[in-house]
Amino acid sequence: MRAFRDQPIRRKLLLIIMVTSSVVLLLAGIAIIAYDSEIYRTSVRDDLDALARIVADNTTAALTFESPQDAQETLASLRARPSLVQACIYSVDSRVFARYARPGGPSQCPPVEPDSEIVTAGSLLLFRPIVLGDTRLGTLYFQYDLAPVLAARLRLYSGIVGGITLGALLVALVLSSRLRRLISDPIVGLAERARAVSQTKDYGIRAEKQTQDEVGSLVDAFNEMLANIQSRDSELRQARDELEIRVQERTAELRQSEERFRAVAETANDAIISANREGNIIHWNAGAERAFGYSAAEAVGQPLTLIMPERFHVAHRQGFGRYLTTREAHIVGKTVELTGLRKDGTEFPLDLSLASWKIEEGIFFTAVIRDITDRRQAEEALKRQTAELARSNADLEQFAYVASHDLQEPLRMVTSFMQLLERRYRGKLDAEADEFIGFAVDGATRMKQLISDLLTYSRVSTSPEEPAPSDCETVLLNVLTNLGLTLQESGAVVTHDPLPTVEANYSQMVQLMQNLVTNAIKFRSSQPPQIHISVLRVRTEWVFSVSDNGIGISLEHRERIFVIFQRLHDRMSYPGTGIGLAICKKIVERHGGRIWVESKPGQGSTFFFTLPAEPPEPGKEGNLAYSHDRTTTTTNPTAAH
Amino acid sequence: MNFTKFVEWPASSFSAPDAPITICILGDDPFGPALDRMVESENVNGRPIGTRRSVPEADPQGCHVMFISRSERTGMEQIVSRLRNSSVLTVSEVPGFVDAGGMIEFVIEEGKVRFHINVAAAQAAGLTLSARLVRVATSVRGPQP
Repeated sequence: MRAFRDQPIRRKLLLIIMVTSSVVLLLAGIAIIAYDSEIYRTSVRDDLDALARIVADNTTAALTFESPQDAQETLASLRARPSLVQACIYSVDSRVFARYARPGGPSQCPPVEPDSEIVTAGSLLLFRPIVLGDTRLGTLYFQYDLAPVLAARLRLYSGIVGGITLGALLVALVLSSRLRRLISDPIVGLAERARAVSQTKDYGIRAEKQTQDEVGSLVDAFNEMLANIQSRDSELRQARDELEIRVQERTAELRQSEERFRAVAETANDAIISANREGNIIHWNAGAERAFGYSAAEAVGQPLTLIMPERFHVAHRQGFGRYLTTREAHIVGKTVELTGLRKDGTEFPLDLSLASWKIEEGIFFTAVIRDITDRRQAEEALKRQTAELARSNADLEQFAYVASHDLQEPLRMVTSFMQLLERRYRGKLDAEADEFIGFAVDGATRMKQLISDLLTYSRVSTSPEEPAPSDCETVLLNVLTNLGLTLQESGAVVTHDPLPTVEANYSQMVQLMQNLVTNAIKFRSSQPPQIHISVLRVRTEWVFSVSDNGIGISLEHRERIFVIFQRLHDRMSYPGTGIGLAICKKIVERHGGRIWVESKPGQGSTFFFTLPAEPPEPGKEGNLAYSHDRTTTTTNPTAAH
Repeated sequence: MNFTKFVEWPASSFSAPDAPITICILGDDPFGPALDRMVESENVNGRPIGTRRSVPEADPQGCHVMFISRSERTGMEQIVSRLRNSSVLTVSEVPGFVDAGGMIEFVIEEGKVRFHINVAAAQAAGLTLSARLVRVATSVRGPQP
């Protein structure tokens, strides 16, 4: 069966057709033979029946008159039938009355049986009654040999059927070899196309549709499948090409970036060192060579402890192991200051940024290390200079204080005697002398004022008063009381927001606020002064503002006004020594704040100063870098209400 | 009695198709009631069989078979000649009956009943004897079938 299954369809069809027609013909032949033998048997039986009736009839008298010879003679005439093997006549009492056997036939009659016909293999046995009128006289028995005739007929019919079968097979062979092409040719064609496709991988091949039957559908399905494969194949090819291009691009990018990184790493001033998870150096750039003195050849493969002073080795190993097992980072991802060890044994401070990166090969570390020896030195120099500056500043202030204090005594003497001279000799000398004396008195008076202001200025930094919680409402009340007469004269109106309590030197706060209010009144316009004091909390500081409707200050003068003894106007228009705002600046800065002004000429000015909302930390005084955004520190008094 | 089955009478011998075949016994009855019992249930071609005894010799009317007993041995030839034209089957056990113009003569051979037939006599009387009967007969006079 397996061999049949592997046969080509062409042969399979032929075989099926041949086997089917053979079987059909054989069955038909067998049916015909069977039918014929049955017909033959029936005819033989009918024939024998007739013969039996004649014989029985002819033996009635013999039986009636018990004349076996006569019956014997009658039976002997059966010789004409060579196929009749034996004939017997039994009397009514079952005795054998007469008997005939063909030469070579059986020697004895079988026991009598009821009337019947028995067909055995090749034989027909007939028991028939012998009747005269209504009287049964006996039984006639025939044994007829069918076999020779049947065999002869079988041979004949087999020959005929065989011949017909053979002829039919030949016809079927001829017919089917033409007809089977109808089925096998399209299939074989399809199979050849399929083989061609699988061999050439050319999915553009199409099978030709010749019929509209199942094979036709198969061809359609095959073609559709090929079309699908073709489109998918081309998509795949396109995707592969695109992928290839992308891989090339990526490779190029990667190479570029690697080269860029290498160039950066090699040309960087900083030392760039990479290590693997064992803590051994795998990359060592030129910067590292310069910083540590080891060449790349010397350093690569060495443990990182090579470039650390021995006292840090244990901590390094612990930190490294901890990171590898728990990923708990103390240094990774940060910049820290550490100490490095050069090849020559000297140590130096360094800034180290450490990153870890993980790829298929495992975890790696890269450190960017900068020798900060120079920076350290610069920092230390700066610190020294700052200290020196502070010292010289203090000296200068001490000098100013001492000078102004000590200058007061001789100045007072000059002033006193100049005033005495004026009182006693006015009109006694000439008019010119009077004018000179007047100049001298005026100069002495101004000098006295100058020294007094200078003393006030220097006292700001030397005040022994400690900062304490100071209520700015009280401060302002104090100021308004002090300025009572001036306010009355100028018709000024001072308004204010609720003011906070700040940690500050109270008398300096009074001085600060008084100077600013005085300033606002002094530089008033033609209108009566309107002064408003408001405050805003911005993060960790209070932003105070004192706004007026005075003459305003042009942009270029905004810094100058805070410089000591700088005046914008001549003494005639606006009297004063020009020290008030300088004192304000000093007080504010001493409290850790800043002071500035916003103004447009003719539209009034607003002075801002800040004070820390929390008490300033010791040592950080004046160094806090406050970022402030001036647009948020609004000066509009109404906005604060 | 069995002979009746092998003999055909002319149709004129019977009054009806189912009229009985009558067996007449002339002279002493050698059969007795056994004959009556035998024919009682017999039926030959649709005809029953009847018997008549002590038939007057001169009147064979109504007889189809005439058994001539031994007792009539002496007048046998007259009887036969008288019945020659009367379609009556003549049967006897008298030796020489056939020679005397009788139709069937019984003989006992080897303990079996055999018979001689005179076909010519039967034909002359208008009777047909079955060829089968003729074949079984021990001897036959007259033309044979």
